Amino acid sequence: MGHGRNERVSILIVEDDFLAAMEIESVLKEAGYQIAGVAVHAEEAVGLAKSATPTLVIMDIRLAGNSDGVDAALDIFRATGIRSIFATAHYDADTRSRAQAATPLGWLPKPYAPNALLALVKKAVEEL
Amino acid sequence: MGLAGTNRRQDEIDLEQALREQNQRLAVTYEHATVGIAEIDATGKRMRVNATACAITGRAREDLVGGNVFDVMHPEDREEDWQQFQRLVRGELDRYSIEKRIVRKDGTVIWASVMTSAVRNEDGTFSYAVRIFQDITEAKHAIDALAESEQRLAATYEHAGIAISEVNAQGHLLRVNETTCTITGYSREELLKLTIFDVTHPDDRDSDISSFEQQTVASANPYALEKRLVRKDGGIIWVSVTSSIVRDAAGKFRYGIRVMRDITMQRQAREALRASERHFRELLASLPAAVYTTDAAGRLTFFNQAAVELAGGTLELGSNEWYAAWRLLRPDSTPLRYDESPMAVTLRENRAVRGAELIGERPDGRRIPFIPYPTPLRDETGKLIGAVNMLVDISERKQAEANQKVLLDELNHRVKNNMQMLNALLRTAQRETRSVEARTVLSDASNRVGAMAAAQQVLYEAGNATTYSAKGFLEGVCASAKQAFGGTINISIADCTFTRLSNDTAMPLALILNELLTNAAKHGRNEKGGGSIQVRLSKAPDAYVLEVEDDGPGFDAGDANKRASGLGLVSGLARQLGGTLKVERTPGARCLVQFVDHGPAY
Repeated sequence: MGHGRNERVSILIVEDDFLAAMEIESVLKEAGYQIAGVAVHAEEAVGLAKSATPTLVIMDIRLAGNSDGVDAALDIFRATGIRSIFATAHYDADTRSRAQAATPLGWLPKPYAPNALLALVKKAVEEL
Repeated sequence: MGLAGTNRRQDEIDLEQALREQNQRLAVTYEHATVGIAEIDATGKRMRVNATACAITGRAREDLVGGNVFDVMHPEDREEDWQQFQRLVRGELDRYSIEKRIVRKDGTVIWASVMTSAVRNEDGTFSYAVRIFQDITEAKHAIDALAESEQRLAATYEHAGIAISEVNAQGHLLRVNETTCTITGYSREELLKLTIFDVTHPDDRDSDISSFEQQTVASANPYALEKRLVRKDGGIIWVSVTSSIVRDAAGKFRYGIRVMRDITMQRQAREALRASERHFRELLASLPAAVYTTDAAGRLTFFNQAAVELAGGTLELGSNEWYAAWRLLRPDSTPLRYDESPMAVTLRENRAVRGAELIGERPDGRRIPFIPYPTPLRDETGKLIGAVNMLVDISERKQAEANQKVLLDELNHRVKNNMQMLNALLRTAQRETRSVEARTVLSDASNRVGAMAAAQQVLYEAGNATTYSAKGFLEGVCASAKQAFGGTINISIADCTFTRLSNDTAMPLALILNELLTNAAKHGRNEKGGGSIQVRLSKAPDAYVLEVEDDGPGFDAGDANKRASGLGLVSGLARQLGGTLKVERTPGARCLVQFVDHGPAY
């Protein structure tokens, strides 16, 4: 299973939908990854990224508040160099071009299957 | 001696008598002539004056006789009089006349016309002069006044700002003023050789000729016309001409008067205005929206093609009946009288009306929803002179709105159905499983889905709104939760009729409420096994608070973990709504979820 390797990977989840966050959390935990934390809005995400320094971020694009996930990912990347996997229903060209500046690790369209999530995370970890 | 001697004496006597009488008559004639008569010697000394001379000069005979006429003369007059008198004395002339001033005894100055003639001796030498004079003061004043008046008239004529000329019956120019020369570019001499038709533009000549001829022949009134003038330098200007006739006492033509004014600039302004109006009309005509204007009484003064098409028939200028062909309706299909319509209000109250939405029913039965934009037209004083209205056909927009509603209804309906299907699947699984644990879990899951389905129903019934009624929502979710409860549970909902919440909050809140109610029903029963649960939704500044209170034994926050993972769900969902979960002991359990409603997402 490679859990041992996964234990060294810590992941920050940024998702404002509680149930979706719970879902991602449990899928990742079951696969052996560490959860650095769950943030519901951009400011919280940036703060947690700086303090918990996760390996990568699972970033939902649509968040409550003024800034969205792309802004948070850009801030995190500039501040810490940590990159994100974008999970979102907003898979349009405009959003993608904005997000490019943060060199995303991948795109996970919602609704998603747990297998797709795990595959993306695995590929990202290998890349990093 | 004899008779002859006596007769001679008688003849002599008669002759003397006759002579005496004649002398007397002469004396009287001399004395009282209507002119002043004075006899003067070569130096100008008065030897004899008549009574009238005294009267005219206001002096007594003694004053005048022996005095010298040149002594009392006005210096300006003396020189000429003296010169002429010398020539008279020398024999160079027999008589002369002058006009001179006389100062009367009382100081007043009069003008006199004086004729001086010489009486000569037989050898031709000067004997004495006879001066005959009369008072011409009044006549002179009158003449002077007339002369001044004539001068002013001539100046006025000459320098008037318009061209004035006099013509004969053939149109030849008899007299022209300065301005005529300026306007035409010809000198006075040149003009006096021309006729008025010579300077008229060929295209305008015929009408000018015929109008003039009519006027000279019949006793026609003055006429005015506009024509083109060809100047000496070939330039063409537009002038306005007024032509009138001066007739003699018998009514015969004496001469014609032509008054002419350069109106080139006026005509240019008129043309520019017409061009501007034309441009404006073309613009209006090309607008895709129907535009029409009316006068202050509501009669059509203009309409464009789009207006004709919208009206679905013909429109006539001047008619105010065009609205009669349409039935005007409000959006709810109730009829609107024309005098209640926005355009009628504009015309009546001299103000623009905006924001109205109407339906027009055409003669062919077709209904067209539109928005009118009536605006008053005013003159410089602000008085209403008419109005302009633009009608924008919003049929397409209305159709799009209707389509959207249909789609949204369809969507809501499908979601509702899907949820019901999901619920049914869970209940089926619940029934079919033999595991008690599985049945409990499936039951919980099915109840949660049921709460969401109840919430979806409320959203469905709210239609296209972005908010839903809190009252209906609470009632629906409570009713759904209650189905799972056994025994007697009373759920009372505090009034919250006026609260509306954004659609985004519906699902999380439904799950939160369902969880709190389920917990209260499980753990919040009283000793008798029944339960009374109160549900309250209130507004705090910047947030809402949902309260669920039971009359059971209550619990502390520390016990929360034992009270099923449901509260963890509630916390997480509360956090999702930007809020918190609080638990109080009252002594029953009161759970308070504070949350924020950010308003519609879109």
